[in-house]
Amino acid sequence: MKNKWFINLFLGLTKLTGYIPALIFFKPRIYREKGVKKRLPKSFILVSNHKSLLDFALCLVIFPFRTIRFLMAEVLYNKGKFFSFLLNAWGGIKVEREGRDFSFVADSLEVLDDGGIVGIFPEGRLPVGGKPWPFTTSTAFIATNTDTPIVPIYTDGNYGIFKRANVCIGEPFYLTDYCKEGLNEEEQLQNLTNALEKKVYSLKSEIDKKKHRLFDIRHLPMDIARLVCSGLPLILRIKRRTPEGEKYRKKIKGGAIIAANHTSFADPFIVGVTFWYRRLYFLVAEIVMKGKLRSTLLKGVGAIKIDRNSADIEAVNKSVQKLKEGYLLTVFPQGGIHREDDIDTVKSGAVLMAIRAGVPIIAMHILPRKRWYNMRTVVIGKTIYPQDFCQRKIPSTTDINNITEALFKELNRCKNANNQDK
Amino acid sequence: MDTFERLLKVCDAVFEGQIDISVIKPETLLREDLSINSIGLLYMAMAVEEEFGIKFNNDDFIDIKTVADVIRIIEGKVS
Repeated sequence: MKNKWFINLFLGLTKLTGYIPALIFFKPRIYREKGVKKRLPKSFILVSNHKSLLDFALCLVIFPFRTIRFLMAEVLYNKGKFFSFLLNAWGGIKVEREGRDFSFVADSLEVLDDGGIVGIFPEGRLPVGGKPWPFTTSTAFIATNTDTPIVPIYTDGNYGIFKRANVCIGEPFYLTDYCKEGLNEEEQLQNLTNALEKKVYSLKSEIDKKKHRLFDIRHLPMDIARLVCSGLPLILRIKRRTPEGEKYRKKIKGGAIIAANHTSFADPFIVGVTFWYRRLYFLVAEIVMKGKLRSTLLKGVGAIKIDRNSADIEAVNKSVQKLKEGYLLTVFPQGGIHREDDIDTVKSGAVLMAIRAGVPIIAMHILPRKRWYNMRTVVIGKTIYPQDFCQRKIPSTTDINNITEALFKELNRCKNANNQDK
Repeated sequence: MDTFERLLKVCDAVFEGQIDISVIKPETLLREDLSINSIGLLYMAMAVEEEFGIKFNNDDFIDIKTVADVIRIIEGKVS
C-alpha cells in the first residue's frame, strides 16, 4: 500500500480523531536543544530512542502536521490482517530484522527522495528490563545514501494517564559530517552509528537540565521547603566550614549523597539549609513516616521511606533513581539518632546506593547544639568517589567495605575538626 | 548458560573471594550457609536485576531463604 494520498488521508483521519485523547494521555513536555528552530526541514530522517510501542503514537502527537513513514518490525505485521492493514495505512515500512530482505532501505530512500520523512528507532526492538539495545547500522546506511539531515529526538518513555512524557528535539545534522578517514565501509558505518547513538542520548541531559530549574511546579512542596530553608540560616545561624577551618564555598552539582551524623530531629533541616540551593531527598525511617498526614507531608518535601529492619530494595532502587536523575540524597549512615554524637560505626547502605548510581558521597558533620541560641557549625568533608576504590567494573563487597571505611574516617575527621572549632 | 550458572557468575563478581562458589548448591541457605547479610543480599539482588533485566520488590525478599528461591523468583520474573 504505497499510495501516498491514501496514507496521508488515513494518517490525517487518525490524527483528527486521536490527537486530543493522545495529547491527554501523553501530555508531552517538549524541549528543544539550544538553537533548534521550531521549523524543521521539509525532508528529514527522524531518529528516536525506543522505550515503548507507544513511541510511534507520541511522534504523531509531536509532529501533527507532518507525515512520517516509520520503519516497523515484521513481528508487528504478523499480529493479524487488520493490524497489518493499519500499519500499511499509517505508512509503515516493513523491516525483516532477521532476514536478508533489505527492501526497506530502498523504500526509505524513495520516501526521502520524494521529500518525505522517515522515522527510525535504530535500537530495532523494545528494551528489556529498562536496558536499551545498541543502535543498528541500518540508519547510518540510509543516512549516508541520501542528502537529507537527521533530526534526533529523545523520549523518557514516561507514558500514562497520571504521567507526563518528556521529549527533547535535537538540532538537525548531517551524519556524513561525522565520517572519519582511513576506515573501511563496515568500520565507518559502526563509527557513524556510535555518533548517532551518542547524539540521541546526549539529549537526555537536556531534559535533566530542564528538570532541575530553580523552581518547578512539580516540586512545589519541596520548593516551598527550600524557600523556607533559604531564610533559615539567619534564624539557625549556620556556619559552613571545611575540615581545614576555611569557609565552605563549593557548590555541589549533579547527583550526590550527603552522609551526615544524626544527633537530633533538626538535622534534616540543617542539611536543607546548608544545601538550600538544591532539591534534596531524604531517607527516612519507617517509624517516622507513620500516619497518613505525616507521611504525605514528608513525601512532599522529599522523604523516601526505608524499612531499616529488612532488605528494602524498593527504597534503594527509588533512591538510586533519584540520584541518577541528578538530585541530592541525604542519608544518616549511623542508622538512627545518636544523641552523644559518637560516630563508632556507619552502615554501608549509602555506599551501595552511591556505587549503583555512580555518584560521589559527601561527608558532613553537624555539631550538636547545647543551647537554642548557640551557633550551628557544619563541617563538610572531601568528596569520596566510589570508583577510586574499585578495581573492577562490578565492585565487590570488599570494595563496599573499603568505601564505608573511608566514609567512616572522613566523618570522624569532620567531627574532630568541628569539635576543635568549638 | 542456565539461570543457576548465571547466578553463580553474579555471586562470584559480587562476593569476590569471600564466598567459595564451588560449594553453592540450590539448597544452600543464603544467610546461614553463606553468611550473606542484608547489605550483601541487597547488592546481590541489584546485580541480579542488571544481569537478568528484572526488578525485585520487597515481597520477594520475604520468601528468599535458599539459592533455589532466588532462581525460582528470577525464572518467574523472566518468563
